[in-house]
Amino acid sequence: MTPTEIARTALDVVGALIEVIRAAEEASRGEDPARVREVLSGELLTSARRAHAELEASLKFRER
Amino acid sequence: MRTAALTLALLASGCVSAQQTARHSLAVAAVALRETDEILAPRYAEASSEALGSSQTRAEYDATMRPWDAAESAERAALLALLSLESLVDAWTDSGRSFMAAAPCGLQTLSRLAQALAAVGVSLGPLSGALGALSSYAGTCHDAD
Repeated sequence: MTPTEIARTALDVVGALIEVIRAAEEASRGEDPARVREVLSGELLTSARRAHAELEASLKFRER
Repeated sequence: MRTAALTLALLASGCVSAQQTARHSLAVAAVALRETDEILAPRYAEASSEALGSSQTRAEYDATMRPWDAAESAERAALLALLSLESLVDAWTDSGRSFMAAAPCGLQTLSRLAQALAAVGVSLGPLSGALGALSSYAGTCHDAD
């Protein structure tokens, strides 16, 4: 690994730790965590972009 | 490893129940997945636009977009895995056995998404938080795949 990659990995680990600590703090205060189905309600943006892109590709290559 | 140790320490101290820890881990993972989606979506659109302009055939377009489509598919799989895990937390019994058995598969799904993102050069960013939040559930996934 390059020094840059090592630094990025270290930052990723620190970020993960902060998230876990934040979650644990919320839990200790008895707050209800967000629901997955609420946080991720609706279609993923990337899925919508893919559907749109595939439609465009279908239109373009059907003309040939 | 340190994340897992911290989570286990919290459990051992009795500060947080196993079920509540699971709920918080899933919430962290869900937010991370949403943020990952917000990063990936414009990059996918950019890649598809370029591929559409440069490809002469549908096969060429599909080949160019394959790694991006893999990332999108991995993202959808991660979404389904998190929803499934949340259902298991909702149906938590004394031991939470069902959740504990399925959680390694959820972690594996997120790891596959991380690999797919790396393949298209998209930073792990928020997803590393999700992997950290679920890392304490590492184990063998017994899904038939």
